[in-house]
Amino acid sequence: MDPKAGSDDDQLLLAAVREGSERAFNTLIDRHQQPVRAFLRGITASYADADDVAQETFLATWTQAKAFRGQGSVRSWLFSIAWRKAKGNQRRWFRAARRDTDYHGSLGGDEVSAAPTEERIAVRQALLALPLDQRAAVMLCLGSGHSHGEASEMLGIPLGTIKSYVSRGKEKLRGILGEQS
Amino acid sequence: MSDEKDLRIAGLLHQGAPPSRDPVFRVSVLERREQRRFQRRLYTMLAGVVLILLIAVAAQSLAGPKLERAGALLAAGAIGVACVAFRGSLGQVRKRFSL
Repeated sequence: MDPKAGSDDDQLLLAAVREGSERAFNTLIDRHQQPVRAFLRGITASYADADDVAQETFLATWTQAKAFRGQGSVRSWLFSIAWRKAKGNQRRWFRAARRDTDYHGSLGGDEVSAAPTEERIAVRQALLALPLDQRAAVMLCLGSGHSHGEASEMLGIPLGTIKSYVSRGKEKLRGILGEQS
Repeated sequence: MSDEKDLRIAGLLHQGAPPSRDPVFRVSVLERREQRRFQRRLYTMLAGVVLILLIAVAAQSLAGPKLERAGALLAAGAIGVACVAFRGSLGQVRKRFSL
């Protein structure tokens, strides 16, 4: 699939959302919910919190569709909204995480996992131990396959910092995998 | 070897990803949007009712043309509140008939 065509299609979709089209809004959610939620699940300790922020992100696209200026892709715009909302909830999550010591409960999603459980838990724990900014950079570049430039744009963090975050995060995760194997 | 590890890392980071099709999530977003709309409408109407009650109470001491004016103000207030509370639906109706 031509990514440019998909991007143009998204812009048309967003234009329709701006006009109040319910169908376009539904399509926009269906098309982008997985990457947005995967990103948020990677940077939060709880899937419920991640999905809560994802819902707020899509609500914001409905109310703020006019704010999209056409610079970059719609998906990048969605990720940047999700990131701002996640940052806003950071303190609340931190308090909740301190109260909730039953950490492993958050790891069991309804999705089928192919990787060994210990390895998965070790990588997730290592990821959650990283500062939020670094976690987001690692999730975008290593988990979702975005370029450093795209991640820099989405997160509003300088390119050099993103590169350093990703490089250090990668080393840490590689180390974890080395220990596990 | 490190490429293999990178692929494994990408796979592991993607482990918690939700399914590509999830109608339940979409319905949850739409439900939340409707709840917000309902709350906004409710607060607008409550504010309007309070305003109309205040005008009605103040109008009790009036008589003659002043009372008529207060009555007109009340009616205009009620219509205004309804328009603000249901502006989304009114916009849709207007769009449909303008086509």
